[in-house]
Amino acid sequence: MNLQNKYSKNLLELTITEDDNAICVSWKGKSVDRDPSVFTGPILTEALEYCAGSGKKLLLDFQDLEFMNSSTITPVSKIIELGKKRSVRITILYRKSKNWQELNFSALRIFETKDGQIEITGRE
Amino acid sequence: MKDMLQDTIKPEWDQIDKVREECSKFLTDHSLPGDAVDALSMVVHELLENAIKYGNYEKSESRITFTLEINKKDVTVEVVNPIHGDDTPHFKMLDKTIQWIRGYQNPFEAYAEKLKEVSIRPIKDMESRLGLVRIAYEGQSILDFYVRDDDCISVSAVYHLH
Repeated sequence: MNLQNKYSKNLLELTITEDDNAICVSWKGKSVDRDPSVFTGPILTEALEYCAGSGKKLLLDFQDLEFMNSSTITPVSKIIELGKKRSVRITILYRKSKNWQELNFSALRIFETKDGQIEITGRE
Repeated sequence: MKDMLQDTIKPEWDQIDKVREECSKFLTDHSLPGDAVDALSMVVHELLENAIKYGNYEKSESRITFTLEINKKDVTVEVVNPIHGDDTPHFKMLDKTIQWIRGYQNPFEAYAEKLKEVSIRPIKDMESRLGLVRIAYEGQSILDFYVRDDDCISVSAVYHLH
């Protein structure tokens, strides 16, 4: 995989971990850039491509994210759609107890698939 | 303690998060519930982003004014910024978007619709297109705007306290 294990830009930090089953991209801090996709887009695309090639699941973990602007959501939704096309299993993990996360990420359930390929999971 | 927070900022991107933090503290200090604090500070953030993106800052002294006012039954956020006098397409688009959101009985439906729309756009398309509809859904606020005589636009969002 052509990804390092840590990336950071301004107030946002992305940590990439890998186990036998999945690649996990953990989001920490705040995503408030004018165009966050410049930073997050290539990392997410690379992780998705790697998962497509290896058959691993892509886990996007937002539990430690404090805040994100609306421009952050767009590339995430695009990666989900791309994952559907590339038959990559994707799980979005968020913190249910954070009200803004519950509202924001639960809306992504519109992308969930019945076969579990795309899952949106809120943790307490 | 005053129930209104008003300030003027330079149109610089880094200011936005500072203002959001300031608003969050102000609302918390006024004992608003956590979900209202989250919603309203997000609304402030999104409105300021739009003000910087679409405002006219050709004059170096141009500024953005934001107001956060706590009333008995609601909280109003207002952002005022200078505009290009001939920016009719932008106003039309803003008006169209607000009317489109109002056309949905439940703002979640509008948000879901827009989310589906942006998700199939090319990955390199950098437009977010979610800010206003996020204010309506996640921010649970009613949007409005008007163009003032002094070549400024005022965009407001009203959040009803439960």
